[in-house]
Amino acid sequence: MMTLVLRWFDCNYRRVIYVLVVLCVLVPAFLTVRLRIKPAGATQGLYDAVEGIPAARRAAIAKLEAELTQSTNNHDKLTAHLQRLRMHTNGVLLISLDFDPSSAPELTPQAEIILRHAFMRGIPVVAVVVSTPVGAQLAQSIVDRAARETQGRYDIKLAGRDYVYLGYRPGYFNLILQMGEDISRAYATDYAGTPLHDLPMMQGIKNLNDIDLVAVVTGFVGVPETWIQVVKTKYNRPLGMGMTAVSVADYTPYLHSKQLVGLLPGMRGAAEYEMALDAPGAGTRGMLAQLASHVLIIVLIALGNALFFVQRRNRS
Amino acid sequence: MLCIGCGIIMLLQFFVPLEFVQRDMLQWVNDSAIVVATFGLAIGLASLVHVHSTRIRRRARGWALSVVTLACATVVAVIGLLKSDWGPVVARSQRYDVLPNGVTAGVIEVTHTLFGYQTATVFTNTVTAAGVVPLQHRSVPMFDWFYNYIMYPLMSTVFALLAFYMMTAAYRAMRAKSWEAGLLLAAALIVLLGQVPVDQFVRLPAIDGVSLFEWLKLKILDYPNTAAKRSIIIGVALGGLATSIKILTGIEKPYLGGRG
Repeated sequence: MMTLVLRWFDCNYRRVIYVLVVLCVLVPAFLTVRLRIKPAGATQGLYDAVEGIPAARRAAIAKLEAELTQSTNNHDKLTAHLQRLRMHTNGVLLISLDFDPSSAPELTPQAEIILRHAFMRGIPVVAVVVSTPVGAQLAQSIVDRAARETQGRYDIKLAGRDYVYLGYRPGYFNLILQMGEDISRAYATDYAGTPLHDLPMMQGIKNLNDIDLVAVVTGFVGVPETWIQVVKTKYNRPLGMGMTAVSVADYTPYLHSKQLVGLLPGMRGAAEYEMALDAPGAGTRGMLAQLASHVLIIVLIALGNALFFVQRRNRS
Repeated sequence: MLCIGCGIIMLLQFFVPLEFVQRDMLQWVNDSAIVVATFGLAIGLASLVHVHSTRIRRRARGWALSVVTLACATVVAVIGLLKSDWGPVVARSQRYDVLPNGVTAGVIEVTHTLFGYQTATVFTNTVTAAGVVPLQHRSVPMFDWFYNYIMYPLMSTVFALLAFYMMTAAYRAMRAKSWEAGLLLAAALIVLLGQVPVDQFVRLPAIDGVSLFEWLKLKILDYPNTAAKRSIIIGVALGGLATSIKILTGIEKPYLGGRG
């Protein structure tokens, strides 16, 4: 009987699997099961880094003040830097949304929760896209949504004052390098076309030295290395990442070498971050569908192997 | 010479902390890259038109798809070049956001075009040094419409199809035909189970405060995976270094379409 069922399934497996996949994704969307997900170390690392931005800024200001009293070299440069740092006492987060619609379902929850976390703590945000022009409008809608849909947790955030969305510019590696020296040279205007020197928020942000944390949410291979090479290797700024679950194995070594402060693995990473912030959102909602899909894959692998062993036994 | 020059300028960025090198030289390279990319775009467009028009002229197999490609490229390019306030607008609505302290934070204008309404046409006030600049118009509604309702769903759909292929592949291909394949399969199953909160439904032992499968997943990622990836990264880096030196010294010229 079992053999017959397996043989029937082997003949009609495509139709059955396709229907099951649809059910695994659709049914959980209508369920309201609240999953409890404990943040893993890599997620907690990025959460702590965002949480610690104001403290990092205060420490940077204190360090620079001490440097100014002790040193007479580069006095003007250090004073200008100190003035910029004092303009944003809560620190500044730079977030790069390097993904396109194909990986948006997995990465949008990550980007949104990082932005919401920064907005909740009153941290000004600079958002950019460096790797794909296709992602510029998508990133704009994510940043605007996080700024306006406050979920009652913070005041509405205004462009130019609380956040700046710079959009996409060609150049990729060179663009990131140039941001390290002068952001206004890399991006003369924001995405809306307003010159950066007209935006109050940008008065206190000149280059990567004025940024307390760089967070990169990406679905592209190669993009993380580029950010690491410039932000970490050249400018030694704290860098955290969010990426598709399939890419995490590739970038775990950078986490162990402390080149990354944290790493969000796919939708699970977004869900963990939401739990850490106690703000359940799209990531937590998506975990049930992901759980159902993973269980389905395991069942299918088990079925495939069962059939394989039955056929091998019959042949022998 | 150009290639060597540009390569050396990029190399200097990491080793020479002079302001001239870090600012002016980099600015020159960036400006040049944008000019080259613009010409590259023009060449790409010319190549696209040439290849597909040839296919259509010769009625090659699948020539109808070439017609679709050229038509789409033309329509999107034309729409992208239209003025930002162009478009068959059928209605506009305004909403005022008021902060908890009673201050008006911003005005949102939503433009409803003939083809629907899109979030990208929600204009918020931008705070500038001169005060609040009202209603920044920043995008072409029809271009947004194409992006939001055609490109976005198409890209998402194509990628989502992968789920179906992966499921059937999991059933057909992931079989323990040898003990090595069995080992790989076991690792895959552990990572799959560790990625989801399976312990919410099945009672599992916890190690170091995390569920068994998650703990095992982390161990696989942290040790065998990291060891393998590190060796690959170092190998690729050394290979890349050797190739870069060959290109910089002119021994290899892949950008000219050949070697030596």
